[in-house]
Amino acid sequence: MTKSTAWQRLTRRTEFWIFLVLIVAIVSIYFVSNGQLAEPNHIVTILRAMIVDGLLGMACLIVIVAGGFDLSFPTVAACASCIATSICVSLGWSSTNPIAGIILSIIIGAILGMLNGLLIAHFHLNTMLVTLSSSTFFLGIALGILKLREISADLPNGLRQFGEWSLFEVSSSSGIKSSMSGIFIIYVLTAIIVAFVLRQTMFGRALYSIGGSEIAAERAGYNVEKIKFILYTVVGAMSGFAGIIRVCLAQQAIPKALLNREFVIIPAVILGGGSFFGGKGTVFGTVTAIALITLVTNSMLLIGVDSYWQKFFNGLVIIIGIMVSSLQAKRNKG
Amino acid sequence: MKKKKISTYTLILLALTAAVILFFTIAKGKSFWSTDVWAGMLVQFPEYGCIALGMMFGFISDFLDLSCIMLSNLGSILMLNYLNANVQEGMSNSEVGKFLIVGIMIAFGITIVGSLFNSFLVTYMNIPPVMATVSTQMVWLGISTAITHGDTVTGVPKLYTQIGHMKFFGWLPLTVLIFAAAFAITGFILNYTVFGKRVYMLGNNRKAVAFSGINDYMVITLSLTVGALLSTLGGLIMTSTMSSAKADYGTSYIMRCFLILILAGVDAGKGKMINVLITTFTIQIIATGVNLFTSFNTYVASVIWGGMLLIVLVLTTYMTDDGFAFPFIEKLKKNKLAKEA
Repeated sequence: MTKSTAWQRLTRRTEFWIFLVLIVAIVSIYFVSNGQLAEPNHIVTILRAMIVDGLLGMACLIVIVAGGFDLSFPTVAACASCIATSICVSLGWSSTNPIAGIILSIIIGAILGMLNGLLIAHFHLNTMLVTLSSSTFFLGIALGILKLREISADLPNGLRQFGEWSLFEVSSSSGIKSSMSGIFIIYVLTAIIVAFVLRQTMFGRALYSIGGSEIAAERAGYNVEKIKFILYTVVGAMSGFAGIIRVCLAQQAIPKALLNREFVIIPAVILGGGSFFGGKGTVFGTVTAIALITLVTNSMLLIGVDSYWQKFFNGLVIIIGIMVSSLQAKRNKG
Repeated sequence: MKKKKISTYTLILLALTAAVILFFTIAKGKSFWSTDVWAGMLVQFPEYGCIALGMMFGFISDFLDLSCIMLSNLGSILMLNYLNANVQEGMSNSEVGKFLIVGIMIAFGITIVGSLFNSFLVTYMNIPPVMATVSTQMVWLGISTAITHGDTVTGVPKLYTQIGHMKFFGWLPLTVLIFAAAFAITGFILNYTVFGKRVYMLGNNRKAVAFSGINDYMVITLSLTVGALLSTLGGLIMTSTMSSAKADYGTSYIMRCFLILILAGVDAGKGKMINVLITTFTIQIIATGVNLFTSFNTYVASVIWGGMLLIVLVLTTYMTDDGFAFPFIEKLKKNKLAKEA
């Protein structure tokens, strides 16, 4: 048996190829758009657009690593953040510090995630069916029973100023100014933390183990039920965090904002190296895949693609991605 | 030969339906029992009933097709675009009818093409059906959105609308008969054909099917195609009822179809036609009843549908062929037996 070289090990990983595709995409869009891609304000806009999808992607990643298939996390993100914002508005909270709002959203997200966790972990129900129903349920509660309205003008000061936090300003050659959001640093920090938890903590290792084979994980001594329950609670909390960041960045709290976002993010995580059956996936891959999709989506106007074709191109990228992912899985098995 | 008994679960479903009717009778009284309401029910259920029948193949074979509704929308849109280009004012019914038939063939044709692509992803590429169909759903939605620019497509020929709204004896819609035919065909396929038996076997144990010498790729492809064709039939009924087509019609029907099938106990490797029939009526009654509560907007209805599905899902974990086996009831039974012994 020949020992594999470092290069062979590298090229076997999906993350390598998706990163390569990202580079190729950047270069080709640069040329097709006649250099407009390199306009500073465009780069800043793309980086800003990546943040929320990236945070959601990380929430989705930990579920996929554990073998689950959560379809409700964007709805949890939107509902938790809107409920939190509504509470802040009705309490007349006027602090310039966003911390209270953020923590409130995380807690509400965790509570919503706990419902998912209870049904999936304790009753061993199919994750897809449960999360599909719970997302309808949560959205219905938010809009039907709590009757949350869209909040934009009276967004609490703390959240508004946090969203406006800018590191530096850039202006394009045509004079349009954009600001580089400081929240991008938070995104990078979150990515580092999640990557650390996944790789170096026992909880993260347990997720990979459960994703690989639940029975084996159970026999190895993991309390699978408890870990799954914690997992879905954490996913809910992370979604709540992503949601409130979105509220800050968009300066609006709209419950339906992230509707159907899961159909973009789950394929993105798979594109970035996650396996459909669980047990594989990295933060680097997810971040790269989200960056690729954000780049393609946001550059379509630059390349002159009719915006109505956006959904189709998204779908196409995703289909190609999962086909490549499955081909790779086949190649690695054989 | 032993006479076939009605299974306990079917009786439970009948009792549930009766309870639901009782509930709405008490809650809404006269407004629930008006002829308008029941006539409305007859018009509504064939649409998603056909889609549920299509999804039955997916549920039983464990190769769920989540993209069927978007695919049927695409079919309807292409059909309407074709009809808009070819049917003019003042054409005779037989001429319009000819174009209609071609149009319907187009809708079914694109359904077959889409299903073949789905089946390619699921068989040769080995992608889990949920993942594959979630992605193809985006592609169909994308193509539909690009073609229609997100607008509603109108221009349905009068003849088509007339057929969709045609009623026999003054009250029996043609669409109910179409659903009855689809139900009969599905029942025949699933219960009396070799292919139908293989669909059940696939859901039970896919590996065993492959090792039995059965071409499982073929069974999967046929299952996806037949399921999608039935969904497109439902979509065509929708197009006639609503006299239009749009890229994202029918997305709210997914919840209802899931409820119909899961409540009926349809799962990988099992599912009885009679239960599906009963639950279709149950769900329709609930939908109509909820509508009567005019203070409930669509979002409150979402809470009810979502919550119901969650409760039903929890209940299915306790479901056996002889009814429900709840832990505490089992414990009581065991204690009783132990005391008697």
